[in-house]
Amino acid sequence: MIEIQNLTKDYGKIRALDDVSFTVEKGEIVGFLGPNGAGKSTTMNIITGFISSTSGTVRVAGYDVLENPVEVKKHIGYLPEQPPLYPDMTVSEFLDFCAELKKVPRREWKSQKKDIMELVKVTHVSHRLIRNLSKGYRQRVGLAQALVGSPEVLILDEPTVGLDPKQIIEIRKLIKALGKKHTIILSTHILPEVSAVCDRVIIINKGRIAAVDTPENLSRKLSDFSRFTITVAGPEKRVREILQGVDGVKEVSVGGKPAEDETSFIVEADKDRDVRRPIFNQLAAAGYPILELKSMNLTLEEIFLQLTTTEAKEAV
Amino acid sequence: MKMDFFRKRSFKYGSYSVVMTVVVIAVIVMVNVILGFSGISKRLRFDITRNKMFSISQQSIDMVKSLDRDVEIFILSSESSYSNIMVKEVVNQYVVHGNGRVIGPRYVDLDKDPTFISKNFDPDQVKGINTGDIVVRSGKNMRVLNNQDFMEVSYDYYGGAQVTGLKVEQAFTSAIRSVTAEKTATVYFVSGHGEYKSDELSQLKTTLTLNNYNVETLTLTSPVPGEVDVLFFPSPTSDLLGSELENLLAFLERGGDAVFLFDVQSTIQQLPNFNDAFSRYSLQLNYDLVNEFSQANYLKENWMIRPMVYMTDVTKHLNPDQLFIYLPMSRSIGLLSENKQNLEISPLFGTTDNSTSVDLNTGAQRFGPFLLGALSELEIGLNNHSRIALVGNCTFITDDYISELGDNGSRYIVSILNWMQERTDEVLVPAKSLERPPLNMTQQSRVLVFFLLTAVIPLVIIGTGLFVWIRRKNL
Amino acid sequence: MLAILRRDFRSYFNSPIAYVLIGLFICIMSLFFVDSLNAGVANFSSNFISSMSFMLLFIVPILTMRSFSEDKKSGTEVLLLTSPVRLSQVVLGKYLAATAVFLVLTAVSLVFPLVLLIYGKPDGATLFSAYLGFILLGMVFISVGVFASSLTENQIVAAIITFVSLFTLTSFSYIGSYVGGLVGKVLNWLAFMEKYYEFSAGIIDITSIIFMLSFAVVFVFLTVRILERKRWSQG
Ligand SMILES: Nc1ncnc2c1ncn2[C@@H]1O[C@H](COP(=O)(O)OP(=O)(O)OP(=O)(O)O)[C@@H](O)[C@H]1O
Ligand SMILES: [Mg+2]
Repeated sequence: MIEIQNLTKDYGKIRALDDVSFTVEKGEIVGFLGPNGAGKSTTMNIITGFISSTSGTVRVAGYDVLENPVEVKKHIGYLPEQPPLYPDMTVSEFLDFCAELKKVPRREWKSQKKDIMELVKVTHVSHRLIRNLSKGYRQRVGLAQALVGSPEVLILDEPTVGLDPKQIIEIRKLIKALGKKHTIILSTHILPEVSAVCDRVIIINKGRIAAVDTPENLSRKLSDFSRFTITVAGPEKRVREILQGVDGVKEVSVGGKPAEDETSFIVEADKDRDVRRPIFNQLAAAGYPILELKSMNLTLEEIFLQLTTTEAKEAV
Repeated sequence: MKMDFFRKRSFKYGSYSVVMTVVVIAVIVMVNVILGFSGISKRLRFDITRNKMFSISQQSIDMVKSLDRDVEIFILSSESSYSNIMVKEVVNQYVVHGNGRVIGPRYVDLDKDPTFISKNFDPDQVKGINTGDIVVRSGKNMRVLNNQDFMEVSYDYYGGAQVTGLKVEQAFTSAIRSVTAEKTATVYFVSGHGEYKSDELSQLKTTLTLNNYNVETLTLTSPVPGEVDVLFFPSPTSDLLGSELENLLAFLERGGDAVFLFDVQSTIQQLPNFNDAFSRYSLQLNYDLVNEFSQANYLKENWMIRPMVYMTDVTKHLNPDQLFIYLPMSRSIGLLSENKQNLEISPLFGTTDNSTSVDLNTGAQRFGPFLLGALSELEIGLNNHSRIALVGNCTFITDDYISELGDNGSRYIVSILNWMQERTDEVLVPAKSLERPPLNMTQQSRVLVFFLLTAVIPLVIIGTGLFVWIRRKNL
Repeated sequence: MLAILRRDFRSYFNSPIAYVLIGLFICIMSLFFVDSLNAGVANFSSNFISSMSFMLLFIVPILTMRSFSEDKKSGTEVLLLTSPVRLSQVVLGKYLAATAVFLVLTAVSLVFPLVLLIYGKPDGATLFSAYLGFILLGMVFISVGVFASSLTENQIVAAIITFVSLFTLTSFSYIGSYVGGLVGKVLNWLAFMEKYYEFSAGIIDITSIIFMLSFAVVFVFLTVRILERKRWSQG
């Protein structure tokens, strides 16, 4: 549905995007993840044809953005970072305007408008001026605007910014539901959002793609060693020696002391070895019972940091 | 390599955009330039005013359509500072209808091109020309028109002048006619009685030539040839011989016209034969000298009279400023009471009540007002008239006088001749009235309307705005 | 295009701006109209005619300053430029919206000829051509204003650019007569005020109409180019 090849964007001397390529299949929900200034909004602006790229091609639904801008725009609903709202219009007037702009047939629009307003829960503010709405409601109207005409592709730049937690969850649900019919690209800083909503994550940093995969795969792939916590009843020093003595264990650190004679350790081991059995045997032999053994995969957060922070990379 | 690529693309769209912009603008500019500078534009102008303020009459259209020689129109001003929109439009009309014969208008900025006049115009024909004037030229003939020529002036009872109409078309049509006309009539200067000599009247002759009169000389010793139209007597000092009187009367009786101008003579000499001729027209030349005492009607000396110029068919086509004529040392003209049915006399010049005359023979003093010049028209047969003009002054058309006091006198003579020749240079259409449609309002309704327009309507509009705004503000 | 036209038009009339402009215009023009009333003459005085055009110098910048600047500032430019509407349609919509407001103003100002009509027999044809000239002049001015507004996101700056440009444009005939030569000729050719005065005198010149409309088209076209630049330029 969306094919992006070798996209580069220079703002004067600043290179905002550097040779970015990816594709998004029909019906996919793709998360765009990256720190501030990574180039997420820039990419989205280019896909929607709002700004130009320095080089590279963008095709949406088979049309090139540069050659056939109007065709491309027909297929896209866009919620930019700053919701494009006319403060001097009421919500209802504004959505009517968007529908006219996107040439939604009048007959369809009546019911569609109702649906959209209910979906993003702005029905009860539909006759208020956008100027007088709270930030969260404006965000919702912005989202509603993107949904007008139910375009095949939705591009949402930080759609849940400014919403309350309950709304965030609802909007996520909504996006997930929309994903059944639409192709969606959304950008966010909130990692749980990605794992909650997206089929695929594109991590972008300093204008380059750092990683592309499903959230699960990413977590798995990125852990090149397995980690787990183990709580043992016994003297800390002795237990540590035993654990470090096990073949395949790379590092042991103390994670906490749940009780007087109990110690939690974080154990990192080679990925292709299962060290759990030897640990159990040896501790059992030494007479220190294992109270808890828990596998501990990398959270997305940690992966994100690893991929995008130089210090984290050096640590690996 | 990547750099090349993006350069290429940006270049592609950039140059496409630039080329497209340039092409589109160029096409639009071209269309406008072609429209603006070709003759078409002149035909695409429409005068939609109710009284066709900027259009010319069929008479003028026919006149320019039938032109057989080129006429150029010069406006002595830069194009942008020339703001007489009516002149522009009227000239445009002549050009449009002139089948290419009427050329112009050509704007000449005299500040930029100060030698233009001396290089292109005959100084005799454009005397007193000024910035803002217009020259109509055909071959060697030219005519100067100024704003005065475009105004129809009427005088109220007290002599106050008021512009009541515009006769731009009239001025142009007669100018074009005059510069394109063949010489139509010949004026014969009569000699043999101590008249002014040819070289004392050269300015007058130039003016006559400019106005399409041939100038010849003649004596009255033999009968006046048939082709003679007008006889001109520039102040004879001795009387006609009997045979000459016969020849003159024969000429007048067949419908000939004559202009007689007599200066005051120091030698006491009667001119009974001349007076015999004049008596047939109920006019009489007196042997006196007139003095004017009304402050406004003389210049320094009481004999330097600025006469009242009567409005007649002669003055009809003169500008108000051309009526300033001084008659130095004049004699009065007497009216004979004899009432003739087929005779029509009109006064030309006169003095005020506050004037005197001294008879040079008897020394007798009389009191004014006096007539200093008159026209007399004698009906001879069906459509045949003999017209004479008799003026008790001839100095006002001499070269000496003209060099000091201007050539209004000779223009006046041309006017007399035109009247005699029934020259219809003039356009018959009336001047465009400057009268504007009146507004019939009572003081009361005027105040009401003023109040409505300045206060009520604006306040209602702004009030509506505030209402809408405040109502929406807190939505 | 219609969507944008309608929205902008409503927006003018949902805020006090259009009302204030129209109200002030009528109020100030009335003061010049009094000339005709006092003279008891059923036509527009030359003062009135020149003041009409002079007022446009102030009205148009205020009218057009928001056209694109406001959208740039509030971020709605994205909405317009990412909707499936051709850029030319966007620009045309904005241009026509401002023009429509101007036409409303013109329509309200018909109270003046109405007064003349009630109390006298004015030359209707001349009044008509005067209004035609006024509308054409307004359309030219608005095109310049919309263009200026596409250059900046600051409304005040847009208004100032517009005012200065219009002022320069209207003094072309004066400048032209000083400069002279070919430049002077071109400047004279561009002298809209002269053309406007011709119309107000009752002369309808088709070439002037074409010229003024072309001028507006050129500026609308340039506005499209300016906005389109964003789509392909490097940054
Ligand atoms: N108009 C501009 N002119 C110059 N530089 C710009 C412009 N817009 C963006 N940039 C630069 O491009 C880079 C990418 O910006 P972008 O807005 O795409 O980041 P982002 O990933 O959306 O960040 P955020 O998470 O803060 O929204 C940044 O370095 C930014 O400074
Ligand atoms: Mg961003």
